Amino acid sequence: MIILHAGRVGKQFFLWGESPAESETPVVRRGRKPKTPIVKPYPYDSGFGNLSSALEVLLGSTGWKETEKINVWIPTTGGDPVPSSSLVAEIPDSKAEPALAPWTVHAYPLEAEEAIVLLCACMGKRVLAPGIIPGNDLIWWAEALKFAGSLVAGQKYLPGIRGEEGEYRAFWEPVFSGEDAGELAKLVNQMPPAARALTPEASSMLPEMPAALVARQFIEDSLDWIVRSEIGEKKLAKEIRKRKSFDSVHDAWVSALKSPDGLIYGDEKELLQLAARTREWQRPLTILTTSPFRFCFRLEEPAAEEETEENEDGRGDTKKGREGIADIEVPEGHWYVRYLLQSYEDPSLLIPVKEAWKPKKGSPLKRYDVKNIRQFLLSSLGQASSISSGIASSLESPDPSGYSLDTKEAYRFLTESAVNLSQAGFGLLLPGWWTRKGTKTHLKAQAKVKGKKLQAGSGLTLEKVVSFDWEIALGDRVLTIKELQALAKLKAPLVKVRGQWVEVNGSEIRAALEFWQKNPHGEASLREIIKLAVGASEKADGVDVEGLNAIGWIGELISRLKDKAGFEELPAPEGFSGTLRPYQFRGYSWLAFLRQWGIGACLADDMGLGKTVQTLALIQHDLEQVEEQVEEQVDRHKAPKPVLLVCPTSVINNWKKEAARFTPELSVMVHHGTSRKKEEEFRMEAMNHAIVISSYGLLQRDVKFLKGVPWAGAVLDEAQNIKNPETKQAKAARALEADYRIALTGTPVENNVGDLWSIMEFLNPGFLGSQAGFKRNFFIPIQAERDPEAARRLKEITGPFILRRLKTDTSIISDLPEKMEMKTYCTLTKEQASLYAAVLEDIEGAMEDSEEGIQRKGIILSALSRLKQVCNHPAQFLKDNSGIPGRSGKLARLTEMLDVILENKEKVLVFTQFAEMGKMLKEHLQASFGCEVLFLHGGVPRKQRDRMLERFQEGKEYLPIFVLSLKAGGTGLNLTGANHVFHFDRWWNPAVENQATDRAFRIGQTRNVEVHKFICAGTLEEKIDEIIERKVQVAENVVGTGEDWLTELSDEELKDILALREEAVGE
Amino acid sequence: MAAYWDGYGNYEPTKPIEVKGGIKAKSKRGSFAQSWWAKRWIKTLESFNMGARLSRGKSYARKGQVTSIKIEAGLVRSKVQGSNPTPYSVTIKVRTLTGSEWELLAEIIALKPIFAAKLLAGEMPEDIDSAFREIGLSLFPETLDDLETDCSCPDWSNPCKHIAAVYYLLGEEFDRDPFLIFKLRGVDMDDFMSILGKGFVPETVGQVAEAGVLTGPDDKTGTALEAEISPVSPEPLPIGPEVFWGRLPESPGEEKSPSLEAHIPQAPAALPKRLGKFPFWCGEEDLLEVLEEIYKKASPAGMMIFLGERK
Repeated sequence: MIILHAGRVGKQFFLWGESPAESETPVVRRGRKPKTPIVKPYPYDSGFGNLSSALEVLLGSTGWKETEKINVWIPTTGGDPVPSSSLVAEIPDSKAEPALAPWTVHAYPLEAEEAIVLLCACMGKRVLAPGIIPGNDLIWWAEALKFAGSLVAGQKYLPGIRGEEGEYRAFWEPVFSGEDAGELAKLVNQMPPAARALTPEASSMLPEMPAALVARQFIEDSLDWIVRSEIGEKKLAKEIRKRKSFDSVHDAWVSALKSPDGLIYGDEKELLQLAARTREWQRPLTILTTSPFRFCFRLEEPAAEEETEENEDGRGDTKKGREGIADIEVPEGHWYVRYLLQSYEDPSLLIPVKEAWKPKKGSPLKRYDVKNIRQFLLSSLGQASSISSGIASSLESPDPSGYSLDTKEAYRFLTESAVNLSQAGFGLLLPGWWTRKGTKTHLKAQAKVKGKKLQAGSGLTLEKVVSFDWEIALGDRVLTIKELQALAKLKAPLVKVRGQWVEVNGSEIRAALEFWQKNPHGEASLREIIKLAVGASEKADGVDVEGLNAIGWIGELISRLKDKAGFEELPAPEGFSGTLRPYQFRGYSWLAFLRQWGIGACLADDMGLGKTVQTLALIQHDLEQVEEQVEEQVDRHKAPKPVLLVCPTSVINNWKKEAARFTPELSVMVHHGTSRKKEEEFRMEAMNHAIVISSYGLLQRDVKFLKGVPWAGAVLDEAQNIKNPETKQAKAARALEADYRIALTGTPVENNVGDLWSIMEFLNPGFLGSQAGFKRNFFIPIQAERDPEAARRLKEITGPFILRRLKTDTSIISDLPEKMEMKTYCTLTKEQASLYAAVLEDIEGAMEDSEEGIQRKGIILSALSRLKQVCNHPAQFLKDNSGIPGRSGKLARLTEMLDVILENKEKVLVFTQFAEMGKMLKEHLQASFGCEVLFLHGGVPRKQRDRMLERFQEGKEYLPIFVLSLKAGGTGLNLTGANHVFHFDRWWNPAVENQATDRAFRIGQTRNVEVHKFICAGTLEEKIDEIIERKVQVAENVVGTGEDWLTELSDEELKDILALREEAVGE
Repeated sequence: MAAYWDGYGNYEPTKPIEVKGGIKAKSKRGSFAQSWWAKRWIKTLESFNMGARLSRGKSYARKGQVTSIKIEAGLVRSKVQGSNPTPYSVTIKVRTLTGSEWELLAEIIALKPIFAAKLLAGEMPEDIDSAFREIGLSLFPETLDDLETDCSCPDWSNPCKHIAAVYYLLGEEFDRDPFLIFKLRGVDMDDFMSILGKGFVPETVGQVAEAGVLTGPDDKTGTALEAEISPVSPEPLPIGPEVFWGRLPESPGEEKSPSLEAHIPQAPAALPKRLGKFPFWCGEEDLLEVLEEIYKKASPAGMMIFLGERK
């Protein structure tokens, strides 16, 4: 485990790390006190080994050069440094006032490019890789780099020159204007002081460089490096540059600006003059960039006309009566462009420029020098005047505050001036009906589709070709040819349709007329029609083609898709055993509805809402449909085809169990393990089953023959596994041939823009366009430009295919029980299985040799305990402190589930009866999630225990996981902060488990509690669980309070219980 | 090569000594200067009937024979490389306006904000001349009386080609910054704003900036580069461990709202374009062209880093 930190010494970026100390603090040297205090090695220094292996994981390359030693000034109490996190060491709860003291650490000097790649990898992450956790300071550096990236992207920098230590360098300097200055200030505020606490080993000076300077220098240097590295010019030898090989200092400057190091040589006087000239050149910007205000233009609509009698007589100033288009009018009032100053500090503060010329007492402008304000106003207006002639003419009289325009001028302002003004850095406040790009009412061509009544089960697919008529509409107002022609004659670019301003541009009207005359009708596949309907749009012959005016069955289909309502609510399939909750009926019916059309569906319900059950219901239903058709001889050739279900290895058994429970008629084949069938043999076998379960790993490995099977359906569980479209498993998933496709995930997919494309491409290929197009049209606008319109559009397009219901949404899910108990069936790893087998063998031997009575009892109890340990984790059984990750099926499943739960911002309790396992859980989960994991066991003193409870319940810190030993934490405590309870291993007494569960499920709990009981399928855990289930009524009597009852069983019974069945192994 | 007869009996070699790194005119052929005000400036020169000296001056300006130009109030000093190993010194003196003349002017200018606005934005207002004429003045030196030119070359005709070369290059500088003409006539930007202030709110002129946020542009021509970095006052590290490690209370529900945005502008290199030509540019390549190419290349890289995708 390593927490990575970073800082700069001079211009050098250093990476260092904290790890838990392996031994006690090194012995302090005694003897004569040296004159200068000896700087001690930091007890939690990660050191060379840990740092270089972390770097290897993060940056890939190996063979990291030697580290350097530097000092970090760390708050220290009573001679002990306070580490950054309790993951490293317990934070001393000392009342003594801390002081800063230098501590030596091993640190890697990173090259500029290495630092950039590393920081990019840190953005938005809490854990970089298992056990590699970014410290808050490192995250801050990543944020600062991100800011530098935005400045480069936005081209907010200029070439400059600066001298340092007798050298001159050409330099790309950021220009922090307006908002960027605000961002910089924010960043400075957020900097953890640890980021500027480094000094060279030799120095005894406290690092006191102000945060603002540290931040600024880093951003400057990063920006310079990013620009320079993109130019990609080779480094010139110093000698070549030194020789007077340049005709002028300007040539030398240009060359240095492009060179990797920026060094520039030449006559000092000339260089100084160049610097002065650079400043002179940049001067006009200085006025604008140093202003605390942004100059804004606000376009104001003509005042709404009052319904006067005159207007009713038709003598008002609208043309509507004359042109004969009902509900379309052309008001002739005056528009106004108002000049305003908007404060960067408080963007809601808008000061009319009218007041700024002569600020009155009490005006916020009084803080500033009148001369400077005026200079700012004048230079802004001067610049704006060359963009808009209206602005220029407003400057003919003193103290201009705006100007008025007619409708045509207003239109020109909106279409031309506004764009140019905004590009020149001015603020624009335009009417909402104009800025709402996608929802903006405008002229468009839409398909008008007619269809008869929808017939369910008619065998229609998306490939059906549908013919339609084109029509032209203004917003949702369909226009006749006559009206369109009349509109063209109006020659008014802005008209009011039903009281709403709408743009009608002459060339668009002409294009629309032409389009219409050329293509009155069209044909397209239902797939294309649906794409149009959900909002994917395109431009054809100068006309926006978007939207759909569908009536009849296609209209019905589309509104059902969009509203996720109106489709047939199905009864539970005949062969389905178990009950579905109302929302599960809806979910399954929705899946069936999309399946009917061959449309891919993403079921993204919250964890615990039963995605598995709904999917199984669909599979059963689909199969019954096919059987029905075969029986009724609708389609004699139709034979049932299998469904491929791909899931993480750790849930294969869970699926198998759930299928056996809810759809017992469906034969399930698990395609897994080394003895799995291949090629043709696999195909034959698969066709004989209803469901084939396999893992992502094998999907990728066996895609060659998996894609050759004609699947009825392809279902991806935990579909976030294919979020990266470049991965082999994502490609393999897309290559599958299936009549329907379903993706299941409990993570909020709709929020992870980057992950959507891959999942959608699997479900409904082509709907989101190409990957590059998606990046351009959605990813960058949403992630980088924060364009809410793009986000809205994406939601509209993907919405019909994603169903996500939250447990908290009681309007939809009202019947959820307050406590839900679920069994999670886990697999054993190969290692676990062979250990299990070895223990069994051992026991059998011992049992044969043993006598009845106490000896036998002892053997059995110890066997139980050892087998349970193996099921938990090999390292727990071996007690050898060996590595944790990748060796336990339960642990893998727990980690996967916590991934989803933590992403949904919920908290959990994990119970185990073994203190050693609790310790391993704490360690592993801390490394996996990068946060402190609380662990309560019998050895925790009362005071500390109370503090743990307090911290967990308070919710001030990020402490989502609480591990408890069943004995220490099973009773008495109040832990209602959690709404998930895991029983990592089982106590064979339900009462004890329930008591533990009640730590969370008790008065004060406001949410539904989910209880996850982990069971290794095919092992004693499952058998015992079955026995308990059977005897649950009389459990108290028969089972007693402990595990003693097991010892009363016969050898045969015991053998059966303890046996290892084939299904247990997951790989 | 053919010799050149200058009409006054002086025989001079056609070729001046070649200079590297002189100030190069942006104009490569045809007329100098693009703005009407720079054209006005050059028109005055061209009205002097200089004959062939004019075109020689032009080609001097284009070849980069002028190695330095300094503009002060009322005075331009310049070095021009001719055929003599030592560069010639050229001076152009312009009559500066008196304080009272400026004040009269300010009253007129204050009534029409367009004048000041255009000037501040780097443009000469079209009818600024009318403002000058109203008080019987002219912004541009128009007759020989307004100008006094001198050159250390042997050619006794004045203006000579060296003066013409400087004159042309000045025209290009005026293109970039029309304010230089005002500077030449004795008023720099700061003075100008103060004078304007009198027209607006007389009582506040001369007040010192309170908050210092809207400080005006500083013209630190000639100061050492190191001086730019203002001395920093140390900021001691806080000693509280919570603050020191940035361990602020944080719950998963309160993630930092992503306020930072990145946009690749549609029109590249807007910032340098807004600044226009670099003062007295001597480089081989056109600076704006060089910059535009670099900006275009760097933007996507910046976006990648913003999105955390540098690998």
